Amino acid sequence: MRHYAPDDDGAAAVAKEGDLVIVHERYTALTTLTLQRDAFLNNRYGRFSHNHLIGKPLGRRWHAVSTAASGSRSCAGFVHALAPTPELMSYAMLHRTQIVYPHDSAIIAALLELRPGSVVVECGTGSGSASMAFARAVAPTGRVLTFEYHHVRAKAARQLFQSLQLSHVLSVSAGVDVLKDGFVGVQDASADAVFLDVPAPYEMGHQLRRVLRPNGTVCTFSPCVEQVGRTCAMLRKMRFHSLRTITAPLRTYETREQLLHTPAFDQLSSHLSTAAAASSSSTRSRPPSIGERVAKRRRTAVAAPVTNPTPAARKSTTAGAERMAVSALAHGQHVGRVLRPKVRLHSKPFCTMKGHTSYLTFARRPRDDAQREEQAPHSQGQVPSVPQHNCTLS
Amino acid sequence: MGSEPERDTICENDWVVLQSSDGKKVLGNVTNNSSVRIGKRKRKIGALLGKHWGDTFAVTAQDFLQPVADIPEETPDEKDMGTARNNQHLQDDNANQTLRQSAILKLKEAGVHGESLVQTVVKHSSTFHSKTPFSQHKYLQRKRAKFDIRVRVFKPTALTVCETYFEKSPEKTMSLRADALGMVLGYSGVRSGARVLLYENCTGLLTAAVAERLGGNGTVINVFTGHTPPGIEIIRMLNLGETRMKTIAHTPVELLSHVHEREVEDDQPLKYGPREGQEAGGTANGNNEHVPSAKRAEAIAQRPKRGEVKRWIRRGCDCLIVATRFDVVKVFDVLLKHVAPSGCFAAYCTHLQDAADLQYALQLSKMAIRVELMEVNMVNHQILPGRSHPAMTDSATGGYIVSGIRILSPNEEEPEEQS
Repeated sequence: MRHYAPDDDGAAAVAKEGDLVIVHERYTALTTLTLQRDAFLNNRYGRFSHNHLIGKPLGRRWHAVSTAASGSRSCAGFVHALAPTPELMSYAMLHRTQIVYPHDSAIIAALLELRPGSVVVECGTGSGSASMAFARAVAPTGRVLTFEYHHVRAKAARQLFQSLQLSHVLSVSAGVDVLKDGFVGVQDASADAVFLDVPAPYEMGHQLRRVLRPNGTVCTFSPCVEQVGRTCAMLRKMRFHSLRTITAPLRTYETREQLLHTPAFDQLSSHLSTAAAASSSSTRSRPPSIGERVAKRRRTAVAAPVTNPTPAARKSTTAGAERMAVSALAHGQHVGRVLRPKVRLHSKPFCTMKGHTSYLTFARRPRDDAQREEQAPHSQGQVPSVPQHNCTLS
Repeated sequence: MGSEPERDTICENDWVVLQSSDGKKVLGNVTNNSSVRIGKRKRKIGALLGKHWGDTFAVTAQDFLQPVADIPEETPDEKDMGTARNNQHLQDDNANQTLRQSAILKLKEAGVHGESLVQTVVKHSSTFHSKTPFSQHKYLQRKRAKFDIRVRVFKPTALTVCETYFEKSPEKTMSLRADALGMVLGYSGVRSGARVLLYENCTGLLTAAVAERLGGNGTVINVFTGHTPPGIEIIRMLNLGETRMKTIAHTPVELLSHVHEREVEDDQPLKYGPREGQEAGGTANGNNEHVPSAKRAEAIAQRPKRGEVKRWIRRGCDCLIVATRFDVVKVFDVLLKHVAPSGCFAAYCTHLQDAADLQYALQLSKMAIRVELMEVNMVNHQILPGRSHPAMTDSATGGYIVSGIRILSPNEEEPEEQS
């Protein structure tokens, strides 16, 4: 999470000794690594020399000096070393607590209107995944002040932020129980946003009013609707405005080629086609029907036998085999280009999802009444006064 | 450094987002006698000048705005819920309100306005007193939204402008919902100082949102097709200020095919379209009718140099964001190679098919890892004592996001020099 100086040509930056990088072995296997000269990384894919990364740009194949000796079948012999991002880190790091998932923190950062220069107060730090996402949004001029009452977690988070060179943006207050002591060290009306991932956010009303700037936004992150009910009641009592509660579960999709040929139906279908062709042979010039065009496209898309498949071919009509056929077909022209695949694709959500992470409640701090009254006489006299009443603004 | 101090009060020519009691938002540009449509009529918003962001205003009978105190909303308690009153005897025959429309208009003409009008309407409702406290509360809210409009003024930020467009004219921003905007900004790794390659058809909303996140430090290379940057009117609505506006480099797409070439125009500011191109070479020609006005020439001189933009792209961008109503796969074919390895990208698609094509094409390309196709199922909830439930009507989808990390494909890697 390096921040470039304005005129730096940045992206060509190379990995240096002491940098933290993410090692991507495969989708589900991400680890962090601090680069050291003459050191080696050993994993199931082989033995990797740190020296090969130092002084080189990241995001290329990192080849093993020797592949793993035995046992492992999938011996690709290379992994990828990547620059750390909050998203990658949240999968690579140890989950000391239930983390705030990257999609949640992305949405929270947007709904809190974070931008460079913003000051965010967070409680609690936990594993630090949300803190990193906020830090990226507010750096280099903003601050994330994060509170964690658990000393060991706070220490670990501090180390993590230091290794990511984020210490200038992120500061961890260890051992403060904000529910009892409040946001110790945070000045009055200094925060643009507060993020509360604590069991009883509804007990923090006065602290919220104290540290937030007028129009500053609070977000509470609570898994249970009962907590949310109490939080909203508190926020209304404290005259916060623009209350809004959302849930935002993430659905991820997988996309693969559609199975194009089904042996028995292909035979019958092509039989029907030939029969139809024979019956209309006198009018040969007619354009092919939609069905025929589709059938033709599918046949040409995957060079697979359509009629009389041999037993072996029949056996290979699995998604995996077809995918390999497609890949083989595509290899050469698709690598290094982003080209529309000439096969029918279908997508579906993965079978399971995190259906619920937490309720996110947002509200803005009102301006103080004293400030308001000061300003009120200004505009009186121009327009007739209006009777006051209870008004609700969502 | 970079970002300008935020102002607390509204100034001349500021854009504002006004949200009325029923939740509807509208954008306006504040001058002494500008007006915007709130409810069914145009209202003068000059009274906003000098006022604080977040303040509440009432709409007067003369269609002016007038500052009012913020009264906390009162919600009936759970204890009031009761079952003593219900709709058993409710006749839905349109005769419950004895006050006719014509009578209401007469009252309005006679100067009855705001809360007193609401109370008159309540008095003439034969069923109001047989309603439960909850239902009375809802009834009052509805009548107030109609007869006693209150508006709150918000800063036009990426969030508030995105929401305003999503409600009012989603076709202009490709129905980009606030959560999708957040996802795109998050997964593409936009941060201060980054070089962001962008192609969007959201009328400038994404360009402005990225500029907001760069905070005056970094560059957003907004690639456009055609002669001039089309449809970028939203950018000016975010009150971005000069430093942040300067980070936006509208770049014609043809430049991408000359990135590795040396050209004569390299030390000149970016030129848009053939006309501006002529102006550059027009000095040789005696009669050039296209002499740009001084103001325009100054604006052109402010743009980054062509050679500079080419150098940025040669070095590789840190982030890529695409939101297009055209062929997203082709856009990626052209743009993805300009992202530096280990950089992040995110595409916003309104249709699952486009997103799926892109996801699959990226997997085959071997130019990306961790390619993910995601959809956020955002639900708004009503949270009230004893009456909490998901919103009855909500937007059905926020579109699809394809994200991933750029890596060098084996075809792109230089020959291996290590042993």
